[in-house]
Amino acid sequence: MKRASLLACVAACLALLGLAASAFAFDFGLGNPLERVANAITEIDTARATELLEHAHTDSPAMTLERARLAVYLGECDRAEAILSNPALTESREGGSLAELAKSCARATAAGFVLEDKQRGIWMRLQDDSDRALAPFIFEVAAQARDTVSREIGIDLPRPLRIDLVRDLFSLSSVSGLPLKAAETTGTLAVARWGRVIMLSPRAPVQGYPWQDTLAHEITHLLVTRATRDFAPLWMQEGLAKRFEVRWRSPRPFDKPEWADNTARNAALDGRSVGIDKLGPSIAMLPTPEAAGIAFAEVTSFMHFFIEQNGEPALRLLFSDLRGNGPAGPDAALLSVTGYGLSEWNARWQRFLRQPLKPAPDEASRVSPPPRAQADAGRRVRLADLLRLRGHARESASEVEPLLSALPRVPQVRARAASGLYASGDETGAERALGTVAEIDTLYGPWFALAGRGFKRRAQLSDAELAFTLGLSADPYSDEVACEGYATAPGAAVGTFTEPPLPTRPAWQELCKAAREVPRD
Amino acid sequence: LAASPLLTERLAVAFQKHRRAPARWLSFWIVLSSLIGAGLLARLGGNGSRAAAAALLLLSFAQVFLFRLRDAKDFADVRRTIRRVVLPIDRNLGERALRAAKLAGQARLNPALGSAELAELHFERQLERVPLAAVERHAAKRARALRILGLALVFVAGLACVRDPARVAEGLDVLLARHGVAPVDMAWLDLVRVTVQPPAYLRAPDRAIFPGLGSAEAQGSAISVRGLPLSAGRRLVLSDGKREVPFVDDGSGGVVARYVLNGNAELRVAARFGSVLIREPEGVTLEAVPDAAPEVALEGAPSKVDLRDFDRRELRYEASDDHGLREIDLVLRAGGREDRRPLTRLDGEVKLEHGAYAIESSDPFLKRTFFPVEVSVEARDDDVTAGVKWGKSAAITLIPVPVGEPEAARYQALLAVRNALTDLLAAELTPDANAKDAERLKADATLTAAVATQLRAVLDQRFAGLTLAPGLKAFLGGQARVLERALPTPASAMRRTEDVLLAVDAALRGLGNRDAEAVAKHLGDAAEEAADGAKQALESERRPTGLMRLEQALAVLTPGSQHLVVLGPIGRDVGSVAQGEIRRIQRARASGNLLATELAARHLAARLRRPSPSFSSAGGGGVESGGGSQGDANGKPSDADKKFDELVGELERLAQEHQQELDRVDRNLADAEKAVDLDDLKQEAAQRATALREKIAPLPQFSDNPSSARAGAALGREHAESMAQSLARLALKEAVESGRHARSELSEAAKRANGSLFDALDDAALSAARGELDRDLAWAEQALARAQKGAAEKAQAGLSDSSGRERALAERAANLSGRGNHGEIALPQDLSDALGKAEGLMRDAAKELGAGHGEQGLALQRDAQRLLEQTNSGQSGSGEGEGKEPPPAPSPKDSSSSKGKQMSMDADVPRAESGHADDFRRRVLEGLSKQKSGRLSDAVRRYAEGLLK
Repeated sequence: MKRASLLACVAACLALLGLAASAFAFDFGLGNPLERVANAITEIDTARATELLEHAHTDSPAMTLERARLAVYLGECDRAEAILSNPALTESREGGSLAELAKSCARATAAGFVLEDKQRGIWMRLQDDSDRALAPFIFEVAAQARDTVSREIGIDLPRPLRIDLVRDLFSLSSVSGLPLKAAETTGTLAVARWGRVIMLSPRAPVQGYPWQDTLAHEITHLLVTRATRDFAPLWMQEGLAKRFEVRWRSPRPFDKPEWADNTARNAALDGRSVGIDKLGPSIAMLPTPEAAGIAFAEVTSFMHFFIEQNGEPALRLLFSDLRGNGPAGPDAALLSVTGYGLSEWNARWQRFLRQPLKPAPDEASRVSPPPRAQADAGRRVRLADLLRLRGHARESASEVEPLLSALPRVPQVRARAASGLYASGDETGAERALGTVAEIDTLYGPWFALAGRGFKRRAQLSDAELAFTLGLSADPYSDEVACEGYATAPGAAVGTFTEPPLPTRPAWQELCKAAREVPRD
Repeated sequence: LAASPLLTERLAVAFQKHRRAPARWLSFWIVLSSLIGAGLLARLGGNGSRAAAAALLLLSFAQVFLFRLRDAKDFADVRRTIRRVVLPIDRNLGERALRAAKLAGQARLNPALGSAELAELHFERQLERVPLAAVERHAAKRARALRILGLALVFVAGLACVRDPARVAEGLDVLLARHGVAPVDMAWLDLVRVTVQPPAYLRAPDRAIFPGLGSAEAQGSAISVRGLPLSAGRRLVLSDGKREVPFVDDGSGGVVARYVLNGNAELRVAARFGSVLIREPEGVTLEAVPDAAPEVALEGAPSKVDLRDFDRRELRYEASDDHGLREIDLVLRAGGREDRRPLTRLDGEVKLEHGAYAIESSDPFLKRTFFPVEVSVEARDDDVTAGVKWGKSAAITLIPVPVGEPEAARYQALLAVRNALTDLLAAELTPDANAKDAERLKADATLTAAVATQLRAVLDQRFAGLTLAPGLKAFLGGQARVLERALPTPASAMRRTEDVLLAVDAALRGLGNRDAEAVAKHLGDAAEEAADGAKQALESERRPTGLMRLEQALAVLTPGSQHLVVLGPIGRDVGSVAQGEIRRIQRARASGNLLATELAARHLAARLRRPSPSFSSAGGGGVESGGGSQGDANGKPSDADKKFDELVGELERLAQEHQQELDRVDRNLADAEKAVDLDDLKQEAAQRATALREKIAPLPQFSDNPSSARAGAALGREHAESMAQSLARLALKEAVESGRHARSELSEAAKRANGSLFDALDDAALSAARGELDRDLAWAEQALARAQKGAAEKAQAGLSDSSGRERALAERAANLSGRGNHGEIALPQDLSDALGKAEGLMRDAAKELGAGHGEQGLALQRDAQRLLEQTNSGQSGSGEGEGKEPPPAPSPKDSSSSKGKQMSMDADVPRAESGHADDFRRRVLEGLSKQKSGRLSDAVRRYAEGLLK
């Protein structure tokens, strides 16, 4: 009995000792403090990284470099630049490139206009304060996308989520470190890097871009980075981002779930396949936009296939494995979770691609317009725009009306005709020219704004709201979109200019005012 | 003691009888020698020695009083008298007398002690016993001792001052000094001479001045004071009260001191004794006249000139200096930059200089700057003493045209045309339904003509020095012609309006984009300046300057970005980016964060220097978000500009190919000429050349009057000589040409000689020369005709081929002319006419060449080539400069940036002398107007036409 008690005591002591040791190792680090700081930063846990750095007693160059990295993650590029002004830090390649980034980032973000939605946990810095009218919409989408994707992936992002909204590609390159040439070649719109989403303002492209899905795409990158401690391979990152970029919202017209599989299949058949394991350092750095598009389709299709085959729990297991055993590589993680390595999964996916798919009925029936009609469209659209700018609304509509029969599925043509007719008071004619969603091919902001205006006029408010939201998702700075279908009509020639009505909702009202200040020709 | 005074008085008299005089003399000698001693002691000049000397003097005077006081006291008191007189002679008697005196005194006070009378009597008897003779002997002995002592003092004092008695006086003067200066001035130098040597850069001679009179001298002059010292051994100095210059031996028995005059001064010769100065009574009063900075006057300054209306301005200046000018510079300052251009360098002796400098709007400094430029003229003198001084004129401030304003104005002017075209199209789209086609066409023609007129007006308009580039001008001029074409139906007129509208729109967008890129880069420099200003302001000592630079740059950036936004799609995009960035800079500035201000400005500078669209992608972009951005459903609205550029390109190629054909014909003819065998003429040609030389030898070679007969004969002789040389080389063509010139000149000389009595010429020699020339020329023409005939036969095959090619080229020209007159694009009228004429000439040339008339064909080809070259207007979107002067080269004299060796640019440019330029121009035009022939005649004609344009 005594012996048993003694053994029990010894065991208890050993257990306590082990527990204390593990606790110490976990919280206070028996391991490398530098590594713990680096991991915390990579996992975007900036609060923990800050705490660890405050308690770190070493001041080695590597630790100072981590301090600079943390400053970049916090968006404090000027502080990072100051830290990295020490020549000893910039001698290393990593230090040198970080110093270069901090310098260009500090220039692009100095005195930026910062807005914060504390309730939702979103922090946003605007390079151009004119974009503040869009902030409420960005906050809403960012929070919704973060919460939805977090739930699906099973990991949350620390608050606040940081977003840098930059004015142009030049600034995107400066803040993210992505080479400008590469960004221009592939048409990069946003980057998730340095623990932040760095996104182009929708006012940069002439006709805007689908900024909501882009934002969700980048937030997914941040979540995957955090979940895998940035050990997720590129194909996984991009494939999951494409998968989740539309899952934060309800399905919308022109969502093409089969797009990835079709594109990947066609690329494989045409010999244009990029290959999921040949993506290089970034899809944005692929040589052509076509290659980037195919690469996106392939990784999306692959990840879709993987999740279909293994289920989402397997994905979470894969994340855990990568996080814990990242340096061993994704192949080992795949093998551990599914029993197959990357090459086997690649082969299985390619076999899947070889299965024929039935083309979508509407796509099969669509016929490309003849080239001559395309050329005539360019001419008539420009003439219509010029006439509209001078206030000749009726004449503007009459210029593009002949195109409605030649190019009936082009929303740009329909929107111009309808806009002119609306401005000349022919609302019925405008709605007829506009048609329905089923009659157009692509998402075009002004078309949806005008459609929303029609719905509103007919008191179909929920349809109107949906149409306005779709317009907003495509081109928020189009004055027709921002002003709920009421474009600015200069009317200089006819001298009957009256200010179109403003939306009633405050956020839309501000957006409308901002959109009307955008110079146009 | 009533009787005692009489008795003691007797004793005192006896005692003083011999001693009084010696004692007083001794006191006197003591005082005198103390005075000398004090003088010598005080001369050392130190405070201690002066105090000691003063004490010595006081003691000497004190002893006089002390001795007299002692005598007075001693001889007023009986007992003291006894002690002084009696005791030294007879001690017992003296002591008895003292006791008797004491007893008498006590008895008088206390009668109890005894009879006062008896005691008095006893005392008197004691005194009567004192022998007066002994007293006198004793006194005489003392007097002798005093005399000896006195003599000794006199001897010592004499010894002390006998070598240099003035030393005692100097010492006493020093003794009485206050504030380091002795009260009594003394003369130190004899034969004083004062000379003034002005600073070397003034190149003025030395001159003497009178010491007693004041004088005004140039600051920095060296004042030399010479003289003979009156006494040796004095430390002489030249003092202005603050500064002393020691006198030194001048090597000729005198002393000299050199003093540099840096300010007003009263110079005095003085001797220094320790801390005390004894000055001479007279000084030299000098007024230092400083070298004034040069004065510069710039005509019209101060004033402000708007560079918008500025083309050229003459800056007339006048610079003067009191002593002489060394250099005059033109200085341009803008922001933190300065450009200093030496206008003239002088020898430092010229006191007044006039000049002028013409500054033009194309000046590189003005082209590069965006800040107000202060133009001033600065002159410097040669003052090496006080440092070089620059005199500066008032400034003429050149207010630059705000960045982008001319481009924006040009864009707006074309935009107004586009708007007019749009309104025209709108009118055509909604015609009056009741009007007939003819009425509609008539109404439309009126509107169209108005728009065409508006378009033509813009083509010739200037926008603050900016015009449209020739290519664009030709393109738009062609569109104006298209607009003016009469068309049969309203539908075709509307289609034409659409074409022109889209063509103008395309040109406008292209122009806007090109201008936007140029303006953005210029604004980038302003942003860099803002960043530099903010950086400078971070340094506390340069903060005001830095802030000023920052504010100036922001004042340029803000309106510049507003102009940029106007300029086409790229301008709108980059301009709105710039406006956002400027707000960011201003936000940083308002928060007082200069570092952030600098960083934001640097970013803007880098962005503006890369004026690409905010978002540009080879494939439309959007790869990150699935759908990507949707391309608009439009191809290029108009390819009129492209078609025009193609037409211009084909015209250029046609001109190039025609030039090649022309060269080929020329070469063919030259080769054929060479191939003709003229050996049989060689000997005769040489003989004729010799004969001609002989005949022209008597003709004059020179003449002073270019319009005289002699001048004509001399010129004729030169041409004849040239002909002789050509004949000797058997170069018949050149010989004929020179011969014709010679004949013309000699004929002219003969006419002048006949018409003037004073223009003498050897008529016989002239006639002989003309005769020989005529013969030789006729022979040469015959020989040349023969040679050309032979050459034409040899060149026939080649000319025939060239004829075919020339015809094909003429066809192409006709085709291009047709394209330039019909369809969507058109060439301007003048170019179209030139092309038509060229085509006709090319056809004629083809005919001549086909007929074997090489020279005639070649001449026609040259005419055609000249016209073809006139049609080369350049591409519609050509040129970075877009109607501007070439980009300015960096200013070689930009002091802020010039480094390393550069070519000197400050050589004097000869001034235009009245009449010479006009004479030259007249001669050139006269010469060019004469009928010429030869290979270069067409080139000369083109040059002349260019001159007259």
